[in-house]
Amino acid sequence: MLDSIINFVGVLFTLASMGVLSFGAYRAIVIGRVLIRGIYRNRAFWTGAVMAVGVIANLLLFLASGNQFPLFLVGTVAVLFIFIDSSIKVAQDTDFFHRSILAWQRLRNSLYVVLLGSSMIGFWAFVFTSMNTIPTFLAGAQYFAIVGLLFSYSAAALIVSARRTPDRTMRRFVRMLGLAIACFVIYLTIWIPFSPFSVTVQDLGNTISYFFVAGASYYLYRAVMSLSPVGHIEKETA
Amino acid sequence: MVSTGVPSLDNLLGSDGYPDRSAILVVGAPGIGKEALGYWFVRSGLIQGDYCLYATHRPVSDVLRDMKGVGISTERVPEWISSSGSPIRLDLRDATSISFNIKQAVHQNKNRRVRVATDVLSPLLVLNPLESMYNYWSQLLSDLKQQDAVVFALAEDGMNPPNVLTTMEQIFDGVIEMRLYEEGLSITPLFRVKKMLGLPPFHGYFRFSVSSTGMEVMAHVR
Repeated sequence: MLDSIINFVGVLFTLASMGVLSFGAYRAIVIGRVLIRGIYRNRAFWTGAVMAVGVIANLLLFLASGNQFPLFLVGTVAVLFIFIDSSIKVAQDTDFFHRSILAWQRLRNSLYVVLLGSSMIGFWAFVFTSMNTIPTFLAGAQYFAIVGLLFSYSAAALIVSARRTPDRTMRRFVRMLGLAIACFVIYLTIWIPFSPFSVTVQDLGNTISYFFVAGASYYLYRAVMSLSPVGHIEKETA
Repeated sequence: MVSTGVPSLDNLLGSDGYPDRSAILVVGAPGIGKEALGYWFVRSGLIQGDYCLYATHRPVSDVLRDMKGVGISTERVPEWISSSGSPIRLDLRDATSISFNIKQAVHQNKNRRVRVATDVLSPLLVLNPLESMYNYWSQLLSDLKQQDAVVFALAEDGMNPPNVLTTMEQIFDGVIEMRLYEEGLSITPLFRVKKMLGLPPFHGYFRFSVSSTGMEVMAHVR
């Protein structure tokens, strides 16, 4: 009975995430189409693409089994990291004095190498070893630890860049993105101990982690909406 | 009168565009297309043989990329004062030198009709007190208008609070406001002419669309 309730709540969180991400992806396209300047239009389309990837990842979370889902997780993380990197660069460009953001520009190539190396080890373990074995667990653990560290650093860089940019629109966008990444890091942190590597209390862990996926989806939605500070037409003057 | 570079906007403003010796302010949300209006204004001047100066806090390469993005050829370009990529460098920390360089460039071309487009208003308002900027821009615009120049300035909604922009609007002869409006699930870019020297007050909003072939302005019907 308790298992069913926990599962049901998890399904609700996942459906909510998918709804928010789908609607957000649609809004991102609508907003991107009316924006003229490249940096804002690209942010809108990028966010829309990331949200679409999120919908697919959520679907796979439901449908995939065995060693399929981790592979898509690796892909989603890679896309998300490229998105974060480009957003930090845009935020730095909008700073009048183009100040360094936690040495991001100097370190970004190294971060890509670390992420790629870690992903390849994870990929190898997921594909070529059987699940619930020590090598798979170690490969998964190193992957999540590195991704957790990289994304924590990214979230900090996003928050700093949000404080530096004088443009309130970009500031809101970057701040919301930082919060989405923070939720994603918490999701990964919770997911590791309850992941398929230890199936005993998997449902509870998944349900808690889905809550943070829903949080990340909400903040991504807020990020894309912040790119378009829309108003309403006053009836008497329209 | 000086063409805006957008025929449908020229028609809206009485067939001829912006008034001579005027200062026009375009206010709007980031990314909505304010810069594009500035690019067409400058391009129109280059075609007509006017002296065109573009003072920007962005690198020249950024602006050129944006120009190409809205279908403007970069074979003929204005004279630049910019943060990088131009002979005359623009330093936002030194408002005095920005004013000096703009006035000097305009003075050297005093026998020609002059168009000045700039996006430094908002950054300078962020970095300096409102009162000093009010005086600074009043003086600069007055000096440029005496040199027969038409000045086109952009102001970012996202950078400056509404009260600051309202204050600055007072020293401009024309103010165009560009906004995104929500109608159901769609978002419509609209603009309105808040004031224009020599013209009666405008009422209502106009739709606009930007493509690689130019900008179209049309009446907004709800």
